[in-house]
Amino acid sequence: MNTDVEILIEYLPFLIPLILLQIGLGIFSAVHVIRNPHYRFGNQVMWLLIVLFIQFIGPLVYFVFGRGDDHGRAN
Amino acid sequence: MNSWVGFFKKEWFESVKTYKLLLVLVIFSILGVLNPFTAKITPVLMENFMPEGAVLNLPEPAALDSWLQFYKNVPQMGLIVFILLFSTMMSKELEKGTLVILLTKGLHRSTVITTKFFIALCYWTLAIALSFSITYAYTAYYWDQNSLHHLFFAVSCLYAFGLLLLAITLWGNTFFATSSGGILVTLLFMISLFIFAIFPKSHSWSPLELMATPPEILTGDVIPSDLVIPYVLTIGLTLFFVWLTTTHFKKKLL
Repeated sequence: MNTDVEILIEYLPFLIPLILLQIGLGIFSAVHVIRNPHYRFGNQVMWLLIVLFIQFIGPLVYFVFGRGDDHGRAN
Repeated sequence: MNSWVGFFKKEWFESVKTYKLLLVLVIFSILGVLNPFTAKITPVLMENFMPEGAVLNLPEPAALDSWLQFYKNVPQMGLIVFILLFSTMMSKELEKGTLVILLTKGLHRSTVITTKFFIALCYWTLAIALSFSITYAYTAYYWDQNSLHHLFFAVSCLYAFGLLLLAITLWGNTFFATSSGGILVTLLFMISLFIFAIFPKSHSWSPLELMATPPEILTGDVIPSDLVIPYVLTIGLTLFFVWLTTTHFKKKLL
């Protein structure tokens, strides 16, 4: 057990930025999905799952292809 | 020139508003951190997951491993992400018809294309610089990089190849006026390059070499002068595709 903690501490300089960036992007996209409920295709649950569970490709696909206009039109 | 700057500003604001800046910054930082991390943790993971008693002689990870990860992740993940991000550059405007107003007001059609390409170039520069410097910083901290050759030349090869793909995406996107058009053309181009790569003769000129050889440049097996023809060809093709897009767009009915 002790060695596991040591390994964890050794890799913290990598893990902290990685986790922060990935979770940050996921949460930011999820908030965007909830606050702008208009999509070019698909529904809210689908986009939430995509954004939260597919690492960085999910948010990318949402922002490039799935995001509707800010005016609330679905296209 | 004035309209060029104006249109460039419009493109810049658009890319920030459509979260492109954010996505590029976050994704390429992740890619940058991921390279030294994977290089460092792979032997540890292998040891932990090996059955009890199995002896595995894995060499200590070195700076080269970190850069090998860089040349595996960035051309694959990074380029795919990038092409996807910029695959709707022209088609969005063409679909919505937003360009008509600007063009009737006297904006040159060539300005539109060159600006669009230039903004994509700026983003690609930012992306490569970001993940390169992060990987460089981590690698320099953990390992000794003195044994590696031509670090900056190797990354410039990847950079040039990315520009070529961007130019092709822009052309396909303008020509077919759909977002899938650009992606499909780029995909076809990559497939044809891979088919050419089966024939050993193509290794002396194929632009694909710029993506495939950076690891060998680092180890010193390939010297930069071997890559002159692919390099020149790649830059030439990039300019050619931008020119082709401009001439096509000038004749296009909106």
